[in-house]
Formats: sequence, structure tokens, C-alpha cells
Amino acid sequence: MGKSSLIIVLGLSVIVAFFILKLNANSKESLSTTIDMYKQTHARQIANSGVEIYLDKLYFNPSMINNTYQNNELMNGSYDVILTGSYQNVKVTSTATFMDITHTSVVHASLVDIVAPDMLGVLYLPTSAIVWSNTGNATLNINGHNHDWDGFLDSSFASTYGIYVNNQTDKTQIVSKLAKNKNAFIYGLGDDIEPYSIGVGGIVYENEKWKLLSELLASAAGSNVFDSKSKIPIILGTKEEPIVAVINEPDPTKSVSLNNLEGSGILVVNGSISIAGNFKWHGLILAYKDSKMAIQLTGQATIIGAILATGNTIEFLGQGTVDLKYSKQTIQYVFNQATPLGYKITSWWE
Amino acid sequence: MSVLLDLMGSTFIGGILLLLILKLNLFVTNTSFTSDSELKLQQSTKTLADILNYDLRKIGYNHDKSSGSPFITVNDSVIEFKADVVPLYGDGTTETVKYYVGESELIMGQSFRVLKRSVNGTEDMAGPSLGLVKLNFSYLDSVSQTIADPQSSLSKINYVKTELWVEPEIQFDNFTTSVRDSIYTYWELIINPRNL
Repeated sequence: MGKSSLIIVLGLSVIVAFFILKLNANSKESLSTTIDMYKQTHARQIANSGVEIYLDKLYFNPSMINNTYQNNELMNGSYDVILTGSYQNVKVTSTATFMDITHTSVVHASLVDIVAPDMLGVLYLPTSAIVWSNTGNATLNINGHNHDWDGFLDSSFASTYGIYVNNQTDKTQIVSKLAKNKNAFIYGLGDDIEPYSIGVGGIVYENEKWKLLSELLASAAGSNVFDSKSKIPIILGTKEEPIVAVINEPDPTKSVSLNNLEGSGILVVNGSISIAGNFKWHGLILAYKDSKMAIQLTGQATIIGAILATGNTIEFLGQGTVDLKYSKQTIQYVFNQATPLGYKITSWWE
Repeated sequence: MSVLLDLMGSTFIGGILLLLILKLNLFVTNTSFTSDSELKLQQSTKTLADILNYDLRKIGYNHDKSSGSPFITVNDSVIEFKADVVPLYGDGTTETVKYYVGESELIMGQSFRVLKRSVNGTEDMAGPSLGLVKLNFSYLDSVSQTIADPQSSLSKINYVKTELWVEPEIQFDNFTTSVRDSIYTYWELIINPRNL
């Protein structure tokens, strides 16, 4: 009897084990399908990141051309990069390995001049469906007449509009909001006819142009990239050495503080900024990518140059003052000094 | 008498064990079918996603941007574009690539579609349906908003969103409920072609 029981128990165990193994094989295969997809995606991302990292490095160090850079570690994988061609026209071959998966991206890029954009308004909003908010009666002195570097009126360049939008609906909305703010003064082209100088450019969809400009500028920023945790210097570029700086805070709940800061050059902003104390900027402020640009004012902000905002939400909050003065020569000067060239991608195989 | 009782008792216990094994076998067989079906469903969907992923990432590769957008036909069931898709890393000239789904086919009483790919309008390629029942393309602009009429706004397209609905080609009755299983997989890809 004892022997029989043992045989029955062992027999049953073998049968059950067989069934479990069979079911487990499917489960393992299923997991493997998912993981394969993850590995492929991860390897591709490593290879693509490798391209961007080495284009950035090459930009600042032309002697890196026609060399191979192996075993760079990134995101728990590794990648090899080959830079061939010339500094002006480079081919980047990035081969990434993540676990047992390999992915190769081949990219051609050319150095191009980054030219200053034509600003149709000193506050240029080349997008549609703008949400404009100026709560708290912030004082807005927006002036599209040309000024010199020091902020004095200068007739050597033509005036532009105070604000420039794509369509009449946006203009109507902005005018109605401005009318509720007795401290809003919008000067520039047409201010002798209408209370506010606001230009309308019909349907002009130029997001690609601004995206490219933003990316070129971001690649020229070098180490001047800040977020809400960064300690931002109180001087960001000078007249003698204007710089490109990037403020990147994609978290909409956080705001980057620009307190008592003075700078010259091109300030690329992705996210919300708050200005307390005094803020003075010579050059262009380009707000891109994120759909919201919130300026929390508790002090005095002076911008001599222009603001280009490609998102669709503009908020001026608080009780402070904004002096925005158009200065074409300032914009041209900072572009000439701070951004000689940038890499433009001509083709990307991935 | 005791021998008779032993025989009856062991027959009874043996019978119960046999029934248990039969039931277990039935359950495992059913679970195995379902599991096989789900695995095949997952693998088929991944295969379809891999095929689309490979080509859609190359939209506009080696296309002369000054000649306009690489997109030719864009709607919810067809995407046609210019790209140099010749392996490996292209041959320098662009091809016209088109993805669309064929007419519905009945397989074991169910309606399936076949994903088709044509290159330069001549090389129609199609494999088995792999259980595809529905394919939907939509097109997003630079701020990830869906473009209502993409065909008239080709230059606005920044992202291509592809949705796949895949069902098992053979469906089984559920062992417990006796109702036919209606499992399906939904797969969504949003691709940002780098060459736009």
C-alpha cells in the first residue's frame, strides 16, 4: 500500500509539473516578446542620443572629426560613434547595444548660420488660439518702435508692431483683455490709429521654423542650461560677450526664478519663468516647445530686443512692470556675437 | 471480506483521482489553448507594429524638402509618403511607399483585414492578416494636436499615430463560462519622423 501511494503521488507530481512547465513556457515567451520590443526601443534611443551628444561635442571641438569613439555608456547600454566627413558636413554613425540588441542610426548634418528672425512684433506670437492672461494689472509697456542698446528711441531701423498675432480672433481677445488693464500701453506700428499696436498676419504657420531655430540655439547653448533647481548666475552674458542660455523646465507645476538678473544674448525658455526684483535682458527671449509661458512679475522687467513665444498661452501675472522695447540692432548684434553657427540635420536614418 | 473492502475502497479513491486528473487535463488544455492564442495575438501585433515602425520612421529620408512635404496621401486608412527605404541606409533616391489595408476577408466566420505595402505603386506586398481587424492612422501637429483635415495640411504633420486592433484568428469557448472568448489587443504607436 505504501509503495502504491508513493507511485501515485510521484506520478501525479510528474503530470502536474508537466502541465505547469507547458503553461510557463507560454508565459515566458510572452514576456520575451514584450521585452524584445523594449530592448529594440531602448537601443534605438541610445543610438539617437549618441548622435546628438557627439554632434554637440563636435560643435565645440572640430578636431573630433574623422574619429571613432567607442564604448560610451548611456542608459545601461553602450554606443560607438564614428564621425566622418568634414566639420561643415558631418556624417554621424551611432551604433548602440542594449543587452543583446544592436541598433544603428546614421545621420548627416551641416553647419548653418543661425540668423536672427524678422520680428513682426516686439512681442511676436506666431501661433494660433492664443490664451492671453494679464491678471493683477501688471504694467505692460510694450513698444514696437526701434530703440538702441540702451533703450532710447532710435529711428535707424523701422518700427514694428507692439504685438503680432496670426489671426483676428486672437487680436480681438487680446484687445478685450488689455482694455481691462489701465496699465497696458502697446505702442508701435499703427498706434496712431488704434489704441493698441497689434498686427495680424493672416494664417501663417511657422512652427517648424521656430522649432528649428530653437533647436539650433539650444545646441549652441553649451553648459548654459538651467532648470528650476539650478542656481542661475546674476549675470548671464554681457554686451562684450553675449551668450545663448536655455531655461528648460518642462514640469508645468514648477517655475524658474529669474531674480535680480541681468543678461545679454538669446534666452531660450521652455516652461514658466517668474521675475522678482529687477530683471534686464538685452537681445531675444524665445519661448518654445511648451505650450505655456507664464511670467510671474513682482518686480521690474526690462527687455531690450524682442520676445518670440511659440506656445499658445501667455500669462502676465502679479503686480510688476514689464518694459519691452524693440531693438533690431540689439537682436542682430547678439545673434552675430553669440551664435556663429549651428548643426542642422539633413537626413536621419534610424 | 476485508479484501473486498480494500478493493472497493481503492477503486473509489482511484476513480476520484482519475476524475481529478481528467478535469485537470481538460482545464490545462483549455488554458493552454487560450494561452497559445494570447501569445500568438501578442506576437502578431508586435510583427505588425515592427513593420510599420520600420518604414514610418523613415518618412522623408533623402527627400528634397524644397519640393514640398514628403506626405502624399494621408487619411485614417491610408498613408502614402516619400522616403528612401532601401536597406541599408538608402540608395540616395526616394521611393513612394504606401500602407493601406485590404478588403475584409472571412476566416472561420470572422472578418479580418490584411496590411498591404506598396513601393512605387507596383510592388504590392501583403502577408497573412495576422488577425488585424482594424487599422487607423491619425496625424498630429507640433504640439501633439490631432489635425482634423491632414490632407490639406501636409506641412503641419509632425507625428503619425497608428492604432492597431488585432484579434485571434481562431477563437475558443471559455472553459468555465462556455461563452466564446473575445480577447483582442490594441496597440498604439506615435512616431515622430526625424526627416520632416
